[in-house]
Amino acid sequence: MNRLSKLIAWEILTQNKAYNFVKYLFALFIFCTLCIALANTHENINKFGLVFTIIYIPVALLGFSSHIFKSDLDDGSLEALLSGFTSFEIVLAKFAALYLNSLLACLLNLPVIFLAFNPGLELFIQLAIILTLELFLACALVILIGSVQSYFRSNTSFLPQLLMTLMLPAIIFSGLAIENIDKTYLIFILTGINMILVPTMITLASYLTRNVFGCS
Amino acid sequence: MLCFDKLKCTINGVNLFSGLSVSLLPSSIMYVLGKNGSGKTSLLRAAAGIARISSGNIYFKKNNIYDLPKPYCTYIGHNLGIKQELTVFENLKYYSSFYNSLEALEASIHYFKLQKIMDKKCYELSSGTQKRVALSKLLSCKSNLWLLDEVETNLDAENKYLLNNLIISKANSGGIILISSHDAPTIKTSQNLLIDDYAN
Repeated sequence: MNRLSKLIAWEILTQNKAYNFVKYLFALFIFCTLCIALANTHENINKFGLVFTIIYIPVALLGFSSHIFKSDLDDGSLEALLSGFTSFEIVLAKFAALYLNSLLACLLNLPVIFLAFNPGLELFIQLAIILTLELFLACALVILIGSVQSYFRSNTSFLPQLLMTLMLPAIIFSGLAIENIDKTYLIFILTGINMILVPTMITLASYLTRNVFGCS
Repeated sequence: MLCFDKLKCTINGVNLFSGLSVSLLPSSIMYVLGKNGSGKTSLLRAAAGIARISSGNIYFKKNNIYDLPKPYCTYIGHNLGIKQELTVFENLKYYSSFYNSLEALEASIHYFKLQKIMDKKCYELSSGTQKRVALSKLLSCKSNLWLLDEVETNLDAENKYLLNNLIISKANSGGIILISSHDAPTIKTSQNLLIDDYAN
């Protein structure tokens, strides 16, 4: 456990110092939020703003997929890490670091969302819960895409768009949960989707990472 | 003891080597020699538990390496495994903490004379200096099995001398060192592995 926490700390450091992940994501979130706020009429902003938010926040992460494993593969860090850790530990650490970083960027953006879209406190809390759950799934998806890209090496640039469809159920239920604030069971359905998809994605990513350098 | 038992490696349908069986006792240094694409790197990666071998088993200290808790070895590959955007100190500190050997960090910095570049980002360094940073992991990441993949590339005479001294002293203290190389061995060893002999 102690070694895993060191690995998570290493991943957080790498993602921030090498790729400026929190800054990149925060800037992108702010840009999208302000664009939505400025492009919509005042009457629609409350409804559309939040719906767009639950779409663009997880999708914004997908651009980061090529940095997760591919750069580690290119500079030899993945080999060095695989000689010291199991592939499951590496994938878990990357996932945890990515989730913590994206959650931080999202939390920093929440006050701006509140000011821009004026959703009311109850809906705002619902939005925060939905985004926390959505990011959990989106981070697992990014890890899976990154591992597939490093495993197959070539012709993988379309993968983020292709695998993005796995986010659709979560986005649909998030939209429904925003529209129907009284139906709290939708949050539990969203949690259920996460409980099925996230472990599957982590396991698959772990398998692919273990076999990146394998003989056939 | 490190033991390769009937190893076979096939990559993309090409059989690199098969029937490779070798044992290394503690205090052994062995060069893995062969031409380009003969499977030297694959063998070292397999010994480090990075790559799965097609068939056969690798044992270290009488245990199959896939059953051993990691890290049981220090591996320096072609690509050095240092993050270019991080400082030398950050790279070394984290890797030595993974091996729970932070106490050896200072010794490794002094041995390869890295004191003056500790706060520099790795991309600012020359290839040879980056290699020195990677090699200092040999001291800061403690283990009894060193797997070195063409480590002498980009090193000047002084640093080659330092590296060879380090390898010999490690062997003298009971370590096992496996080195892949294109060139003739620079350290006299009792056994070398000509991997081309195991190609089909």
